[in-house]
Amino acid sequence: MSLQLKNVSFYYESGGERKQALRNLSLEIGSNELIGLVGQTGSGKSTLLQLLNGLERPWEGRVLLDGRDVAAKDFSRKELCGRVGLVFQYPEHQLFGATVVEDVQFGPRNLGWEPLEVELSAFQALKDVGIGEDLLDVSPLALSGGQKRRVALAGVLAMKPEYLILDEPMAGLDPAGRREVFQMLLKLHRERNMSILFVSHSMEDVAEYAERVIVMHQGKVVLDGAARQIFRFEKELEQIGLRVPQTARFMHRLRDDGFPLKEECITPQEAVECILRQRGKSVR
Amino acid sequence: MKGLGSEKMMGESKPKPEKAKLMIDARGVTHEYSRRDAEGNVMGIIQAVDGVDLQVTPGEFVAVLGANGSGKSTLAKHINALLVPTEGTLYVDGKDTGNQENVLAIRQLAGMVFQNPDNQIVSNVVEEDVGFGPENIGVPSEKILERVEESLKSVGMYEYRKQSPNRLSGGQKQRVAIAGIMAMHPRCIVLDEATSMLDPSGRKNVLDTVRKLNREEGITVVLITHYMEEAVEADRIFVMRQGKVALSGTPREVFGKPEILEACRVELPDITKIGLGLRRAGLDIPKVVLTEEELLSCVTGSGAFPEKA
Repeated sequence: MSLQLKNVSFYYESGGERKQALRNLSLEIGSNELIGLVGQTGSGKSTLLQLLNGLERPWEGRVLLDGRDVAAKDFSRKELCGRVGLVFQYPEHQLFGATVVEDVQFGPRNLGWEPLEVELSAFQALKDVGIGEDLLDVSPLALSGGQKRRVALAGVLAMKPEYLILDEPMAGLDPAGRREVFQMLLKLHRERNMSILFVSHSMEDVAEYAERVIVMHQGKVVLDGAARQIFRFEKELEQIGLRVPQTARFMHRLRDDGFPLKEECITPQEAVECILRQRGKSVR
Repeated sequence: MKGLGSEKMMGESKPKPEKAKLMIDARGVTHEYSRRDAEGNVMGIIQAVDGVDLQVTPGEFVAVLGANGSGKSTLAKHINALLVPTEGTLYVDGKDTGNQENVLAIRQLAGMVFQNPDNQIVSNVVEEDVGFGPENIGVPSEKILERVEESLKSVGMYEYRKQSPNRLSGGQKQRVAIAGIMAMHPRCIVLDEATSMLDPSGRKNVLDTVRKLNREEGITVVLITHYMEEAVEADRIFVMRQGKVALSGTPREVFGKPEILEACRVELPDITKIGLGLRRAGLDIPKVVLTEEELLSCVTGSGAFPEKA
């Protein structure tokens, strides 16, 4: 199982000007991955997400789902939308159903599922995001910000996607709220083997939750690997308007001062354990 | 939960400081609004802000932390009279925001930068966008040009003055929004999660700009944020919980109370977390470490290093 971009280029045209958003980009997302996508504003992240879910078509190159070209005549758009779920930034702004459950049922119903199936999947999705039964018949507009975001996410989950793609799912949430959203994503990733790709501007969140990190710059993938590997490149990331997590930056400075840093530490917990180990203290 | 900062105690005993000496003086500020269902029936009353006492002196840099829904933004909107208290009083530079006659003067004194840069742009050209504010408050046109130039320079966006704001990055747009406020010669800037939609370099540029305006031009700054490392450099921090100020003090005081912060759904900065983790494991490290430099010297001095040859 894989979702692939092969030598994809994409342009935006406005007022006779053509701007290249993606440059001959190739990328493969396998099954059961947990990927953080980072890059400066304008690096092409959002365009990439829209190509993955079929909202945009590449000018050059191909998008393949399990090896099949999604542009092929026999490949339905609905199938792509259902299998690759896209959650926009601030998805709560797109809630429109009269009730929570109606809003969440919209996606699977649109895919042409049987009514019973629609009902069951919506119910399961709401359960997955932690929205209780007492809220099913409430207007989504009456919910709190955090609840609205969960409902919006459930609307995509109800289509049972194999790939879940999220554009800054934590934007505007407080630290505890960010952690809750991530715990929920981790659970889906582990229990349903869902492949998840999320965009984030918080390197700390990426370090904490992503297994693989993809770094974009000027329409290309410039780094792609395990989070621990990527955050070694402090200078290179800074040159393209990014940074490493505060913990990694601190540990690099410690290393420059002579501390024997054997392994890259990217979260506070790791840093504490690393320093204690060096000091000969047993951890815990 | 009890407030701990001395400022809070002062507020509770209701002293009568000379108003003009305070940039912001909130006294028992309460803001209620009614929650309605789809038919418009009142479902309940919500106290978004609940009896807040808060004093900020001119030139101070304060950060406001707190969970979503804790009342931070509602409180902030009182500072430039977008909202007025349903109970209590808020003075900006001695002017009561509840008095309709003061509103224009207050909007000029205290400018606000919001979360989404795209919602704050009003013009097709950067310099016209920046000129909108001063024009609105009746600054003569020859003065407007001068102010636009000076404020675009102070946020480092002068070279973009002829461009369309649509072509700017989020961080650049926020700096243009700040320039638009600066052009009104304010004494206070309120940033309501103004960096939350920005990439790391955009965030850094906006914060550097705000710090520079604070240090070099003495502008009072109220920074509302979910990023703890942004709050570390503030003179004082206010932590809100359920419409009240739950904790206030210097960053060192506030980040020294992890239990209270947790109850407020506020986290420690990562550097502070590392310091605390090491301390709990028995290393000789102070309870609150705020900066990389501090932690570096603590760890270097703690014997974690092998003997140098």
